[in-house]
Amino acid sequence: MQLTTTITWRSVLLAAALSVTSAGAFAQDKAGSAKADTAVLKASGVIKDAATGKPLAGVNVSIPTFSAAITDDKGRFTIKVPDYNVTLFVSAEGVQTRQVPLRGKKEIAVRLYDESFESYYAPAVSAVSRKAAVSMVAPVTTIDPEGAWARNQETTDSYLQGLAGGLTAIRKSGTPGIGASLFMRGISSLYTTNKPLIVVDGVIYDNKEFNSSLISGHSSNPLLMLDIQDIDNITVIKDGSSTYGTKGGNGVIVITTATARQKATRIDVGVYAGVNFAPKQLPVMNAAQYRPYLADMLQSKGLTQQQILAQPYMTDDPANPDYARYHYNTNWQDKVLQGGASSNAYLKVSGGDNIATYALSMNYARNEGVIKNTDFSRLGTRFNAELNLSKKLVARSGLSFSYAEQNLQNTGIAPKVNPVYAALVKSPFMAQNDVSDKGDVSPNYADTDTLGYSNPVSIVEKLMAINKTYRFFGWLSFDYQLNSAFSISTRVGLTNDKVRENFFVPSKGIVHDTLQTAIANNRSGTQVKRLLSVYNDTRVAYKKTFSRIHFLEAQAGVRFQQQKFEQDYILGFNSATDELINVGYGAATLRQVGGDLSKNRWLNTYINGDYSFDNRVFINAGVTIDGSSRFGENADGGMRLNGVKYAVLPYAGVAWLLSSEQFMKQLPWVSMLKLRAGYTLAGNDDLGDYTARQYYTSQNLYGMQGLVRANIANPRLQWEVNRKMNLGVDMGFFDDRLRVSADVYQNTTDRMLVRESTPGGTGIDYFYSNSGKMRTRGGELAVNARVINSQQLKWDLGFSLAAYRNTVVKLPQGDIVTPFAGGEILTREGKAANLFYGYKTNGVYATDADAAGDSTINSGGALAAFGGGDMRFVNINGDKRIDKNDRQVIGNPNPDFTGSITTVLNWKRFTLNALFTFSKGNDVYNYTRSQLESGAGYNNQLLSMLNRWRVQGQVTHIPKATWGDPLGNARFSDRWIEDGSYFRLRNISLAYNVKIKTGFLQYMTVYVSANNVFTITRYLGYDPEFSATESPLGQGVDIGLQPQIKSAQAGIRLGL
Amino acid sequence: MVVTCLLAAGCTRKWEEHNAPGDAIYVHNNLYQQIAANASLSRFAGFLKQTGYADTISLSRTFTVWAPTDEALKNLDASVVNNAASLKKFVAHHIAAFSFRTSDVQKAAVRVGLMDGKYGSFAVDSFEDAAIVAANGVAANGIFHTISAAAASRGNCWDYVDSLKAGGLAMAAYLRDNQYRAQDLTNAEQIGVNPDTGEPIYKPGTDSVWRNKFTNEVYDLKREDSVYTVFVLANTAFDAERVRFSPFYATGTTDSTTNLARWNTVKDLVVPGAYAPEQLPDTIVSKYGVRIGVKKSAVTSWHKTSNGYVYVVNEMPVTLEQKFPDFIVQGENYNMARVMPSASIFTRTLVDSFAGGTFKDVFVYRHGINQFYVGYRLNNVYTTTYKVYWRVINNTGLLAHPYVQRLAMGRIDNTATFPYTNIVPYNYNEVYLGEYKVTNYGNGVLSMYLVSANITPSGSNHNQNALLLDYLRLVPAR
Repeated sequence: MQLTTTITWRSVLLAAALSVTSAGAFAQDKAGSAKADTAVLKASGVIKDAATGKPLAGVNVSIPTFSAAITDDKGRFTIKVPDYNVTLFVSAEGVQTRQVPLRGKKEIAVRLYDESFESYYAPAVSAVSRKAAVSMVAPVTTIDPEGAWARNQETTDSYLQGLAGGLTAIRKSGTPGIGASLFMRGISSLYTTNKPLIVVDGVIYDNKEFNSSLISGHSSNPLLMLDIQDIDNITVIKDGSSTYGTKGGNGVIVITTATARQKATRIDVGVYAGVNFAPKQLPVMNAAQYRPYLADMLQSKGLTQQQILAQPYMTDDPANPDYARYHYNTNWQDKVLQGGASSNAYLKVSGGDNIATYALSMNYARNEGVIKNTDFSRLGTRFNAELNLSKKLVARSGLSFSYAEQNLQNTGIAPKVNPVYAALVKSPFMAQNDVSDKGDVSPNYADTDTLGYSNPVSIVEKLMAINKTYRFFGWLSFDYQLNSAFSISTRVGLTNDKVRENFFVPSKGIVHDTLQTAIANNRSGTQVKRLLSVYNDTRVAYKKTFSRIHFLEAQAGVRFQQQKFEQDYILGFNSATDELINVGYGAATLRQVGGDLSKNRWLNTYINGDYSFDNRVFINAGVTIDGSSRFGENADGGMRLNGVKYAVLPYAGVAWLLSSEQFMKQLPWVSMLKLRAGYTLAGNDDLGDYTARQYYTSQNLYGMQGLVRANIANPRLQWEVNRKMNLGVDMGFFDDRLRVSADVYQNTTDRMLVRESTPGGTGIDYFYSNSGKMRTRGGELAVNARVINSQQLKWDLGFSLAAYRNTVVKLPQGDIVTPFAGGEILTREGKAANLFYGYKTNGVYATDADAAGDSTINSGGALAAFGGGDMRFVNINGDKRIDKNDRQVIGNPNPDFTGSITTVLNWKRFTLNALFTFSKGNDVYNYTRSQLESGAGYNNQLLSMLNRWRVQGQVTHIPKATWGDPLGNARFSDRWIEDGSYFRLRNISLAYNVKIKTGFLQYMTVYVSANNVFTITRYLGYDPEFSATESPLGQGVDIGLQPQIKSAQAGIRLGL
Repeated sequence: MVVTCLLAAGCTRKWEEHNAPGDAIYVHNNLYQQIAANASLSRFAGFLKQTGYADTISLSRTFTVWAPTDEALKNLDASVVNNAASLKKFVAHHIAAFSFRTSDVQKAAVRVGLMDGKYGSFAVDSFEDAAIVAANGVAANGIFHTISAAAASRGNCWDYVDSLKAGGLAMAAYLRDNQYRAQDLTNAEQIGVNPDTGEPIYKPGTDSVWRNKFTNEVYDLKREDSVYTVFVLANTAFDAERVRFSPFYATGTTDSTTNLARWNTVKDLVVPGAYAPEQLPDTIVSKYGVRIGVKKSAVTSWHKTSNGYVYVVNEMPVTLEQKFPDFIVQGENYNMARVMPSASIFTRTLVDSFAGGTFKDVFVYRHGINQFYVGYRLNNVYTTTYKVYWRVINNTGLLAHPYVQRLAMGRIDNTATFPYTNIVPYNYNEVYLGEYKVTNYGNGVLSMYLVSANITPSGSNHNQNALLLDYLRLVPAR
């Protein structure tokens, strides 16, 4: 019902827009034709180089389908024009393309910038066509990585950080190749994906990690299999006009890989080597500081003086056999974190003839992580070809194969096996190796210590965690030009992906795990995940210009995708020795075998139309009709066809190039002014393959295997509907020397997928329904300018800023509180979707008297009284009792704004590039610090714990250390919420283009670059940037992943 | 570049600020440095250095120091100051391992183990007898309190008993001198191997040690980590008790009778816990369950020791019922049987429909032996006449009603005490069997046997030769 009204309203809007423009067109026509009848009109002008002011000769000036001219030695040209409202298209080798409106003038002067200066007239690639960005209606950002030579260790997702306003890329961790969590314009959904769709060469790139990794804190990044150096163009479409229907709800990133640019054979070779630097260590206690802390802890545990003195590590008598073993001062962070090396090699051969062109590339990359013995290496190859089978039939193909291998470590919340965490909490007086009573050091690594901690060195040296990924991504397309207006094309894509993981956790040196029926001393596991995806996109396209000023382009097509996924895993336990690392050696009774099989199909029909009037008014509209195997049979929305529900999602947008209007000639310094407006509908089909259907899962009960019901089917399940409104303006001043773009938007997610809890009697905790609603409003600003423009020295400066505010509009069952890493995340109507929900603190009680009368409900459910040295939590309801009613919002992980600064400095043959990124106002839950300042156990602590409350009357902000933390001083509170704002020099690179005599060698460029050079932040952790999960619930939680790393690289690139 | 440096510095500072808030109390100085820096503790700091304890309290463990002020140490006995060993002992009495703050004192005072092996009494405002002037000084590795007087160490209860012995108290002498020799191979010197058994041969005298009977069997009054209250009877009272108890220990010699009577006197006169004179209870219950009266008026002198109190008293009233209680022997606690182990002996848990609750008894059935028995051994059986009772509950339908069994005292073939008795069904009362007189203490052991019917077992008479016993009770004449 709602959809129908929207469509109606939409039609009205569309009709109104059309009538306005056509009325304008009519008026223009009258004026133009009157003049054209009388005489041949001519316009002339001069074209100069913006940097030198010298005239440019040989520049093409044209009016498509009407006339063309070329500049002479003095840069002058004269061209036949139909009227003086026309737009001239200016282009030449080595300079940027421009469109210059005459705006009623007969004589114009144009200053052109060099090719490297970004321009509104550069080509952008939409989902269905390719045209100058200036004619685009949708909010898009176009990025040309130019080979990304300086940043070739990055994956596309992390590369995009700071480069496309509105696209938030948060790097997941410092693990090489792990990529970034992508959010398009804030948050769009609680439980479905927030990632934009990625389309590579017209084929959907499967960019979802199907099922989790066996290795804690790790996730496979499919974009790792796509070498950034192969990418020619990245266009980010931020609204719902992408034609991808229920897959386009989060926008689309359209990636085009490199093809041959010229027919002559070209060989590009790049070789790079670099170093990674271990992060700055967290200040934890040394042995002399830790042992008194431990003594206090044991005392608070209730041990007597004698019992504590009897502990082996408490002896101070050198004659005691335990003395040597427990009198080390080990810096465990040194033992697990270290610098590493990186290397990269790239070869591309391209060329061809009139019939066929090709581009073949091969890449090799290796990058060592900062956790000892972790690395990633990749070998990839890509072959793109274009074959002119006949004048009208063109065949194209793209084949790529990549193999990546990662030696990993468990990270995140895995205290027994996370080496960084183990290094932070391990007592510093322990030794890395076995030590005899006399103090002789054995080459064997020490076993789990008496306090129950793993040996971090055993973890990094002996624990095996390997991920091997293979991906074949290939496509083949045929384009047939029926006549000058119509063409037919079809594209078939195939993705075959295999992820193989193996791990082995040895018995010695690592804390044993507890299974239901046994203690697991050593553990092994293997997993294979396969994805087979078939894709087809077939369309009819129409393109025609009527009466020179009416340009119409339309496409109608069908897309089909089928994904088949299989996961199989085996976990083994207790093999006879640590040398038997395969799952097969594990005890048969403990072996766990499991897996997952799933399959989905998606059918998308789209009709898209673009109309432009005299290059001044642009209209884009279309509709998509999507069917999916994931939708319920009785989905509420959409349209029923043959008993199947289809999502009908229309969209429309209009852009007005004001700067081409006559009245704008009053402002000659405004070289470009374009207003854009769009109202688009897209959807999100990431509902889970079988959520709408009833399915069963296997379960083991006392050795009996059986099937149990796994969910409550919801046959009314449907796609989420993303309504996106966008208003934008693009401006250029002084021949586009200063360019400003701004957008404001409102995205509303209707029928948002929500988990609704069910009565306990059902035996199932929750079911999914489309009963939520969410809204995100925001804006983006981008300013680019050429600050210095001389022949020798050019300085471009860019600044971009993006902000969004998210609000949950509707939830069916009130607040949702999601536990995560010991904290809680609140989703509440009227507030942002992912707020930290906990207790506020107000210092530490200095004395028992201060705390008199205040109490809390402890973990056992009993009332416990606070005393001196306990945290003073803020009591909301004034009942002198701290309980869950006193929880409040203590932080918001969404930033106030994010942005970037880019700068390019060209001096003679040197180019200095820098990218600064920043985030302001995002709160972070520092889980790691909550463990390192918990004061509750044997964990080694941060130096700040030296200031813990110890005696009555002591005024401090760190509470006392008590065994087990009975009063919950370390509970989830604003103690652990920090400002995660940062300003970072993300990348800086210097390139020198060596002067060579042309001949065999075409060019030679030498590079030096550095990543994460410095980060300004108040955050008390390794680094403020991390993303533990791709879900919005869980952003801004530092669970102890591999920290971001500084790296530097030098390389050389040759062209033959 | 300059900017980068500044920025880097900014990043480091955030930790410094976090780790050291403005009003931080944490000091990097260790205890010795803190004490040495305190002008009013210079004398004690000097002692610490002199005795080597300065190094100890600089270790990375935690300690508590009760540091006497210079004023307090001004008049310290020169014999302590000038004798390295006693100075060390003196200083050690002011240092404890681990942190003790006044907030840790939950009761009136806590006993804290000190470096000299003694325990000190730590109260919110005092340590031993010295007042705390400044409490809860903080150092990196512990806590120090300033006290207004030196804390002198005391002897323990056992030391004081020794001094009472020297003062001529017979009971003190008895406690100290009641020794026996026990094997202890700690310092044994092996001089050969027995060729027959392969056992080692030790040099005579090295393989055994003297042990004190009281400290080994009752309470070790030498222990510093426990506290006791010791009552020492004045000589008159001590001898009066001997006279009173001697009849119950009829033996061949006067010495052994005296010894037994005295042991029975002293074994009940120490209780755990330190009772100050004002806290003395009216009665104490000894380790052996004997209830003894405490008369405050009878206390002639008392002494506080490092591990409690020692009282010299003229009287500790105790009844003979307390000293010589009834013997109750539970049927299921047999320690002998005609055949053992035997599948025919059952321990039953039954609901006591008479007195309520549950009880256990022994049930012997289908043993297939004529005059089967289960036996009981009693220790420390004093010489007197006992009235003997049993309680037997015949509540099973397996048995004939009635059937017979008997109790044999001393020897299994003693049919005089007592004859076969009919066991009446469902009798929850004690049944009086008769009197039995013990005339000689000997080793204090008395054996008793529960004997089944004198019939040759057959397939059909299982119901006649069973045994049942809930308990036996021997009531001494006193």
